Amino acid sequence: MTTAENSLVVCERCAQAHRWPSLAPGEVAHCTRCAAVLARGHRLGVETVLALTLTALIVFLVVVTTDVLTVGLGGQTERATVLQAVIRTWNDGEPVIASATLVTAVIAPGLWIVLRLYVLPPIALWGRAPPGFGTAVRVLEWVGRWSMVEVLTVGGLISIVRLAALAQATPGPALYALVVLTVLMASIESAGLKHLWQSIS
Amino acid sequence: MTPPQHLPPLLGCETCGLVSLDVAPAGLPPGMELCCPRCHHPLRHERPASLQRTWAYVIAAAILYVPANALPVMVTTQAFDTSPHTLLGGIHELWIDGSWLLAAIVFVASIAVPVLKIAALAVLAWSVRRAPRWRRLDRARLFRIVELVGHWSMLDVYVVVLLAACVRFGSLASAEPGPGLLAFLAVVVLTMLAAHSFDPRLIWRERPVDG
Repeated sequence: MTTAENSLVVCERCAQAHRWPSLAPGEVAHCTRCAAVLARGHRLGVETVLALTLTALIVFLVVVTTDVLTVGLGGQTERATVLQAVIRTWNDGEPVIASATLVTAVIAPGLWIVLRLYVLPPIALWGRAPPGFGTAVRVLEWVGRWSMVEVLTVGGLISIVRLAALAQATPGPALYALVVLTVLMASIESAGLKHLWQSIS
Repeated sequence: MTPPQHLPPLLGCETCGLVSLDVAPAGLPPGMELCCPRCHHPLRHERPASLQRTWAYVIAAAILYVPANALPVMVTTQAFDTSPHTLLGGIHELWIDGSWLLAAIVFVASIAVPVLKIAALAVLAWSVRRAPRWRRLDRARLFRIVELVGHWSMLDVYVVVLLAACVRFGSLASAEPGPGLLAFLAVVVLTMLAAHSFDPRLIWRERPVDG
């Protein structure tokens, strides 16, 4: 296997080869053939991304441990965390729906954060990749596809609106945390992962 | 940027982006494959059996779309009165409540996105072999849109899960998932799998695609 010039980049979407563009922060290079994003000039350094990811971990812990919704009706109050919602769905006889919710709302975002916290510190501190970096990047690609925090956030809001006619529904701390987590994950995601291969030896 | 001219066949690594020279453009003996020298990920010009997988998932999703819409996704009890709710019914309730924006969001996420995704993926998979040169740039853009919006269809699944978890006041008021929700979840997951199976590099292939 011969490694071609390091100055080349092949479009992931159409296999067109380009010379590596040098980009200023915030600049985006598009493929000349299929117009997909080829490379980005990153605004955030590894240290910044690491700090954001640590923040995301704390916010994520708030999301999974506190109530998403509180519903009051006729003097009774019901509340549920994401995990309680999963368990109740399972007990209602819907194990597949419960599992899908668990994977997309808890496990995938959790791995998304934890695996970044595994790969980023060695790169930020020593410019070195941790063992299993390649596997971690591939798993991160998979969990990124199946992590649906932003959808859960909107789902929580819609639940409140649909309950408004029936009962007293109020958002719990987890719903506010979900809004913050959505923004944090979007900014971390925009920082990318692939370019880190160039900053390690 | 101008693409360099007269390049030998190159392979970009899907994991780390390193560009390697394809040392066996005519193909390797069975059982051998090229790997990225930096991250050891297999290097391929396209994903194996991409079209077959895409078709299988798209057809399964299209079939399940029928029960997903016909069966109730949620069953509610209110003052001893049990009523089933379909996807369209839930949108109608939001609309008559005056939450037009949310009704529009749910309509897009639950009805429009699954239908358009199934149709778009079918067109993309069909055109790879039947109309390979037809509007390539538009097809590439269409695929990126399909990938981007795909997971938003989970919205209704989450709403029902949250409502069923919080509305548990016995015969006074309760909600639970209906049989349509499982079919709808399957449509969402299958269309996402179909999108991930489709290799957009097939849109740009000059040689006819076999299989």
